[in-house]
Amino acid sequence: MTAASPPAPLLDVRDLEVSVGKTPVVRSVSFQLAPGERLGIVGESGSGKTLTALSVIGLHRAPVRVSGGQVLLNGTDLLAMRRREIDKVRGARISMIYQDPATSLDPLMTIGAQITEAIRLHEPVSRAQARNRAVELLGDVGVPSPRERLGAYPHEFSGGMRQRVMIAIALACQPEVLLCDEPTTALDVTTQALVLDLLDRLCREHGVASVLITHDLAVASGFCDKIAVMYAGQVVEQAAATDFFERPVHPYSAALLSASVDLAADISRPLPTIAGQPPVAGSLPAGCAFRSRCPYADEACATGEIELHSVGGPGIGGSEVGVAEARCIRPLTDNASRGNRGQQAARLTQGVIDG
Amino acid sequence: MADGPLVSVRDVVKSFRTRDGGQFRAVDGVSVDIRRGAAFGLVGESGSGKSTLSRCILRLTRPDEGSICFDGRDMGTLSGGQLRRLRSQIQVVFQDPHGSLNRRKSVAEIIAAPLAAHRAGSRSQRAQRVAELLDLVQLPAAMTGRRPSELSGGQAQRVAIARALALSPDFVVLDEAVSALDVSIRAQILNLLRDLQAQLGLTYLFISHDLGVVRYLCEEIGVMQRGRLVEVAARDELFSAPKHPYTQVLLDAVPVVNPRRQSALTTPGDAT
Repeated sequence: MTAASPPAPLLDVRDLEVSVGKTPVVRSVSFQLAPGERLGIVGESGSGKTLTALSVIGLHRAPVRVSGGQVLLNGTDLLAMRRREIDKVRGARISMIYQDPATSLDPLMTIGAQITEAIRLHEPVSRAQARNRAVELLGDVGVPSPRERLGAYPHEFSGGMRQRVMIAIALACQPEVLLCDEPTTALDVTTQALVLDLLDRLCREHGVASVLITHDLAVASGFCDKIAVMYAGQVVEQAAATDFFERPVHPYSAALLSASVDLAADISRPLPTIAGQPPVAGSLPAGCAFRSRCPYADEACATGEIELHSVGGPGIGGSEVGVAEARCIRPLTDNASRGNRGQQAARLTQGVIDG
Repeated sequence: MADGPLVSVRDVVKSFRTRDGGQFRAVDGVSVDIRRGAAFGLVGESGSGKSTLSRCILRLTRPDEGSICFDGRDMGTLSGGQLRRLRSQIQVVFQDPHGSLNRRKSVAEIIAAPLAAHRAGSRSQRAQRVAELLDLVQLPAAMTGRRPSELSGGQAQRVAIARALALSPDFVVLDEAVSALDVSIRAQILNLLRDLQAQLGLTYLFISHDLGVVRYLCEEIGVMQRGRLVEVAARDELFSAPKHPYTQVLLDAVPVVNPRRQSALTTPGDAT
């Protein structure tokens, strides 16, 4: 279910700018989320994906500062809200789960107390009612014998079960949007599959829209309707997931995809790699931030601000291609460069390895 | 000697005491041979015993029962001096490159440390060897004076690999050696590990929770579950026709980047 003609977006992030001190780390990030839709934000460490999520939900702390943009939830700008106002929204209408459930739960509070706290913070219900809801929630996320487990502490749960508890807390007040920051990265592969299935089911049943932040393209592939790729603080490509994984248009996306090793990867030759390193925030080159590592870059890539613009679409090269947005003036749109993965891979492996 | 397996593990058991006074068998009767020049992959989930087994093989801990032979010699029967000499043949690279490098030392000092510890060569010979090693792991010679904090994750892992290779070992244990790296950097290090193995005739024990990575690097793979080795098979067999139900469970759980390419699964390529 790819979002074709979007109604009014539920979450509309416009030109979000975040800096650490004076260094810009998230640069003009925009994305929209329709009710029930799922966006995957993918990128490598330092690309700005986690800071984007934290700023959206107002959980960034000094020296991280939102220096521009809007985060509209049903038309209301969360960035313009006072602390007290956003406290009412966070957890109730938009909530977040994190990579490490061991450190995001309070080790000194029982699981039951943590879930009921989350409920009673936002809803005028009695302690007993909140407890009953907590039991329901725990059961819903697949914690066995939930009533007995209310009195248990986080350390008495396995990693996968702790993440289920986190999900129960995040969904306690039926939010419209769930931000998931590397929710399965700390988990074993079989546990990861179970937790992703659970998130998938709950988001569908409750109509929750979600943003999944991950470095793992395969995880995003199985879960998301659309994908945004971040590099050096910017969204460099945004497309429907089916189009993205079939035909990435930004050279960085293509490189990232071919460097991913899953069980279908071609192991008969060296893996395509990306030469060099991502630029350091604060000392970004003019023009395209990826150009020094890009096999397709030329002089034109070195000047000016490169805007996110529509690439592809029906008609180009005679192919039927979904429209993607890319921050690139040499996108991989022609069939020749997109069709031949091998050739593309060979070009990507060229250059000095400086990893 | 040259024909037998390089590492031969027989009926190894390693238990730990639990808080309530019980015994937890982290490694529960494992036997396995690692062929000379092969890359042997060990997969399993956290707590399956793969790192404990590798620590037994590295002799960082003693097995409670069973024996481990390296190049035909039972490591349990060696004297301190013999074990020390043998250790130069067995090296290890860990998951967190920054955590495993001394942050007060320069890259040159870190790479030369095993040479110094085994009193190999003169000062100038060691400097020469450091230069060779940097070249081998494809780092510029200008890196010698850097401190670990000035290195990226990928560069730091290259330094850790150079250090592991300093004494020209036969056998390198790679314990989640690419797990902390970003996708693009991980690909570079995997390529490097493959090149080094071919170039130097190394034998690897590659421990990982990531089956995709293991499939890329290893021609033979063992699957551990709750301390036991439940399946050992050649790569193509393991990925196309797993015999143990747990192996199947693991394979099914691995997410696929592009579902439309999944058909490639049934025809795994030949690595050599």
